[in-house]
Amino acid sequence: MNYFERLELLYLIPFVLVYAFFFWKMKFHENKMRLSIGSQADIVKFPILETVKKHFPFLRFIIVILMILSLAGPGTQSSLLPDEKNGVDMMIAIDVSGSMVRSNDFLPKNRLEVSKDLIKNFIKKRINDRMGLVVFGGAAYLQSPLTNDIESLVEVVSEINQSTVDEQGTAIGDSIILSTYRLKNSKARSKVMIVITDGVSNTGKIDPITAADTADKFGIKIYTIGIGKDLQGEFETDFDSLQQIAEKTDGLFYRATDSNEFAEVLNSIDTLEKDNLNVKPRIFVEPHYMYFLLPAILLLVFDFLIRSFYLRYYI
Amino acid sequence: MKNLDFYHLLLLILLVISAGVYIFYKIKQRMEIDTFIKVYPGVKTKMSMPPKWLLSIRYTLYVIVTILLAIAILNPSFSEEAGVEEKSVSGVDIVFLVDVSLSMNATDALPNRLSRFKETVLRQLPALNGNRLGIIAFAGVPFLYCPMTTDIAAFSDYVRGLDVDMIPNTGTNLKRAFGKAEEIFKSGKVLRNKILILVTDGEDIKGSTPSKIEADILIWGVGTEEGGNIFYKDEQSGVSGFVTRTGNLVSDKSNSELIRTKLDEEFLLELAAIQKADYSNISANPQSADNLLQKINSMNKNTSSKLSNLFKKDGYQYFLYPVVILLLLDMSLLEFLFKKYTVISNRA
Repeated sequence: MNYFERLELLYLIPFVLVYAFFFWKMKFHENKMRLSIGSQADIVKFPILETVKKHFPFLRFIIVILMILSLAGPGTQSSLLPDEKNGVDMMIAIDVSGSMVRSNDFLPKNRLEVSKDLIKNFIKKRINDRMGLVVFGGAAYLQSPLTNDIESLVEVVSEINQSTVDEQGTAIGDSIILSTYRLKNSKARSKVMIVITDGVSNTGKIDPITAADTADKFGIKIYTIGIGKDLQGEFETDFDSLQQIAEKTDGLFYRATDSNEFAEVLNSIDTLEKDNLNVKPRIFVEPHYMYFLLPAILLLVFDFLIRSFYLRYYI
Repeated sequence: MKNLDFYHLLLLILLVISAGVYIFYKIKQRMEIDTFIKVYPGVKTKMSMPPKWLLSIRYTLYVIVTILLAIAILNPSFSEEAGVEEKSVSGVDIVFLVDVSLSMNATDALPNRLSRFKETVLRQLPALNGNRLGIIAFAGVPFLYCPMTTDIAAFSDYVRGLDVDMIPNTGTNLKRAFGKAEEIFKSGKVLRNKILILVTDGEDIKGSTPSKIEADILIWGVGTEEGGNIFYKDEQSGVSGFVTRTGNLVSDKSNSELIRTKLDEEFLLELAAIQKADYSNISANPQSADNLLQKINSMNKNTSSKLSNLFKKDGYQYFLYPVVILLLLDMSLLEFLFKKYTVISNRA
């Protein structure tokens, strides 16, 4: 139970409690039929029971409060999975090679940590889509298949570090092919890949351009992001080939020299891949009002029966 | 009307009967008192009685309350939300909670326990298409190995990649593993049927028994109660052999120092009883793993009826509002009048 449809009704409860106090002050609970014949039995065997009997009319307050709780519309809110055909299927391929960690142009954090934070923010915005993650260095590994479970994906992103990939190098081609495999059977309206790297493709089983050709055949659009400053060729990035990959697949190539620029790049991709239909995942509420209405009615039944057969002096 | 099942009907009948009984006995009681007063007129001066007109108001009010409540129980629905494609809700979320402690490498189920599980799942995968699948590997700590996905091909790669040295913390912490599974099930608050499949040999369970989670649980035991030795191959050094108590690897199977690990079926059955789970030993009886498919089928059947209820808007509140107002009126105005008029009449 995590939701009340008419939450404001709960504010009535304090007023009912205040009235209960007034009820007690006014001695309304002593309203009953009396027969005053001199000597009444004064021997009280069970003092607790006597007190309970004396305050029996207050049971109605419990009933009313339960009914108000029930009226407030308690329920469990849940959503439906978005339709796979409506959203965007997106694979993010991120470079975890040594230069992503060793470079110092994104200080105080390194490139990898900055990328992770920005990707996490990016993922959290795209609740209607399915996304997956590939990490690559000298080889490419699937870190998460396409999933709707954004929270889990964020967790998977957090766990990436340089040691996720043992092989040295930058195998951009492999990462594109691996992502293509995961996207090729997708029935989504739009298939997108984002490749984030700071290096030159220098290893792997397939060269990036050929891989991009394959991706293009499957109707996949590739956005490439080259990150990092060009420091006299120290960690050089092959912007030309990234540009080519993007052009081949109707995607775009971006450069991000600092974290602000990087954030902007991701924002612009987010806007470009916005779902025009904007179908929100449908929210449903499973009503639980009976959890309160049931005891309320049972107590009312109890109240009726007690007044009929046991404490008959109550009106 | 929705939610009208046997218990609602029973509650409704109970309410109507008790209200009827109350009014009937109260009127009867009053008539008896009146008869008594006729015989002994002197008593009247010693009795405090509410006037009849006031009683009539109260009884009428209770009749109305009862009728309104009865309708509220029936919960009539006045409007329906626009239909939603059922496709987006069919299918089940299945999380495999796989024990990857070293004992899962025991060779009592050939080739070993973990591989036996992999074969079982891979055999069933084609039939699982359309459901969301995920894997949590656990030993000393749980680890989200494969997030929920509908990509069966990717999932099968994940299954093949399962290995015993994935998690450095040794042992088997079931409580934390269940906690992790619940986290995955709850993430996104998605309205789905949920199945948790625990795959373990039940050995060396650390920590207390896990708390109940909101999912149907299947327990798949692997191994035999006679037990087996653990075969281990170090990928880096290429050394392989059976694990001994001192942590060495030997190739001789008759070595007395060898660890012998057993399937703790007793524990797993006990756990199944606590969690209301189905237990099956998939290494002794591979066909018993089909209970997963049966479970999915029965769940999918239930989904559509559950949903058609959710798509209807509740109407109970329109009847419950006046009930609360009338009861509060009864407790204030009527009680005030009762206090005022319930006096000893004809004071001598």
